[in-house]
Amino acid sequence: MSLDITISGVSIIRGNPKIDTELFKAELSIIDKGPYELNRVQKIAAIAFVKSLSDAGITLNESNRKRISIFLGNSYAIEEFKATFLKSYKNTKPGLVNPSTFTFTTANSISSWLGMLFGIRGINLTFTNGCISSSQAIIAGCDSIISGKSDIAVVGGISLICEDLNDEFYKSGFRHEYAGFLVLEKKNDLINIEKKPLIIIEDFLQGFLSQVSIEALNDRRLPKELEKYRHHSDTVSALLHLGNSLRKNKFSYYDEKQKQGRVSAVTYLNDQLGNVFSAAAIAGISCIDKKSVFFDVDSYGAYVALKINAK
Amino acid sequence: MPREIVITGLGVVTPIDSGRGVDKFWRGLCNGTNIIKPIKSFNTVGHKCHVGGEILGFGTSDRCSRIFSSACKQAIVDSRISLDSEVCGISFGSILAGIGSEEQDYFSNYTSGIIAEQWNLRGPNICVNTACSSGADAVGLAFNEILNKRVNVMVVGGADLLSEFAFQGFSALDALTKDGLVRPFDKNRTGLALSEGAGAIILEEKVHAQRRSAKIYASLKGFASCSDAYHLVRPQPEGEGLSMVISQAIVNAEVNLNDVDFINAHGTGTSYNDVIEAKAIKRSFGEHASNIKITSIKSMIGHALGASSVIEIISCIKAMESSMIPPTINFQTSDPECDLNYVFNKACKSNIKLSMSLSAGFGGQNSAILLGKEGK
Repeated sequence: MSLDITISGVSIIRGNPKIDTELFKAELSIIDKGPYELNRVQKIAAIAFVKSLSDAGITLNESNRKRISIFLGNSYAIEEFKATFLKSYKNTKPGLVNPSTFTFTTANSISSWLGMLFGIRGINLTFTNGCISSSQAIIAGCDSIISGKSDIAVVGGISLICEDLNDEFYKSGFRHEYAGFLVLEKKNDLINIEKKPLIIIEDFLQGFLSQVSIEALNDRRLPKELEKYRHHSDTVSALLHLGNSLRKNKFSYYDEKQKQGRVSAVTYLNDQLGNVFSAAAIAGISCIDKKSVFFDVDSYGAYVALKINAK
Repeated sequence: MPREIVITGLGVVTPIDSGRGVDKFWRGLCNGTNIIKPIKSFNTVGHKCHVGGEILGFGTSDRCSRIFSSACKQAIVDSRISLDSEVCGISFGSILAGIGSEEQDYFSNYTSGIIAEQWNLRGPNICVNTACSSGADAVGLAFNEILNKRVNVMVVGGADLLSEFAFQGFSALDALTKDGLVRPFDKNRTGLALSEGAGAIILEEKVHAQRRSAKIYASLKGFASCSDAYHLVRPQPEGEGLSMVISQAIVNAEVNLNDVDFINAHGTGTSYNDVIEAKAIKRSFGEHASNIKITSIKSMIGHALGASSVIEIISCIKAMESSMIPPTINFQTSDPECDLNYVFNKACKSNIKLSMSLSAGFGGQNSAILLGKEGK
């Protein structure tokens, strides 16, 4: 039985390598009105968020703010704050450390802040599953709608460059900054009835790969966990984020000679997309234009597969 | 017919037990043991606070994963479940995960991946960070997995370390205790003490647990989570968000709010939190609020961040099982704004049928977990 969750709005912001917020002056003029200038990650998250709601034709009002939930995949976008705060307390006397940076060192600070900015008081969860973070956000968004806890789920992923992060991390395929959101609604209960469904999420699977399945993936074969979806389409669209060099990497995609991971698009997803980590599912799904299965794996074997029907 | 979800295994690592098991943990709590002591693992000179809760042992390398692994092992062994014979998942809540370990560059999914590999957990692998509500939200997400029939068993937990990083942050926010004591709900409370630890529970579909004759500790009746949308570090002053999740958890569980006997409060011992929590409880329960016994075990073991809510859920379960409520220690002076039925300084006997664990975190996160005594 299909879940019949519709993606009614999509926004993606991509940098090469970094996102230039100057390009989004119009969107920022609506958002950035507080007494202090927003930091970069706030600007990027807010721009992407606003654009997704706008794409879905949804206007926020008092009645729907409690029924909208936010689910964000964010494993690495706040690393800059962690690095800054660490330097700050190492180089400053106790009592003189500025606490404002610290408040942005927890991964949920971005989604919480979006909730504050737009007055959205539904469920607000941040997933820190590395490369499958935004896939987990999508699953939680679907669940919240199916269970009736939300009318709308805004699900996203954000992946930004932090210059201070481990060099090897960047050699693992992190080439672009990426932020994006999808607006999820029930297929037969769209807020904006004139909006044609863009993409339907029909089903999903999640789990932790066995060694046999990892070997199958490394041989470009369908792992047994995905057999259920074999006949959904001709191909499994796999965006494999297996180049992460952090440690205990069990995938053979890591190229020892070049010291970098290969981000592999097994079928038609753009090979140039790069490893966009916590934003992978948003990036991947926004590329899909037919019946397909989006498959997302983290460095340790946790996976999510989303059965998609795009028209 | 909706599935019923029960808890069949418990595991905990806190400074009170140093990983020696739930019984040791529970005895320590009921005895009112204060483990908040001067911090040894880093220098606190120049700060107003010098205390915290440190766990003995577990080394410095990969410490967060080791502590969490120990809690998971206890819970899995306690549940007597055979994890090789079926698909089970893991849901893990943590705020700073690897920060505080010698090797700092790993994230939550590394820790959950280790446990999944170690115990052959081939089901969902979920990592969530909702600040100090992380553990509770990990439980809520696992609850959904079983409720939606994707799996029958989930290993769920939270873990965080007492790191210099976290200490510096909370110190800069002026949230740490200044007199070396954590005194939730006391008029003269001065702040929280950071600590470290891990909690793990086995969530299981009830019929599945009954078929294998598992010991059922309690049932997970309801869960709710929301955002205040108010401030990044301060809760909404009237406790609207916390009140909302209390009410939603009760509605979701389809129980009468007057049947809730006991609340394990978030109870950090900061001036903001405790007053707002009292307001939220009164707002949700009305007149019944004064009948509910309330305690904060953070007075004894401090605030273990992403681990705290799972540790506190375990405390609720043990309280229902043993009909005993552990005390909120260090209490001296009443606060007119915290005027509820708190269990101060000494454990008290009480027959509890329904208990609630509350959590609140940075970013305005709020979570409520409702637990029922087995057979009730």
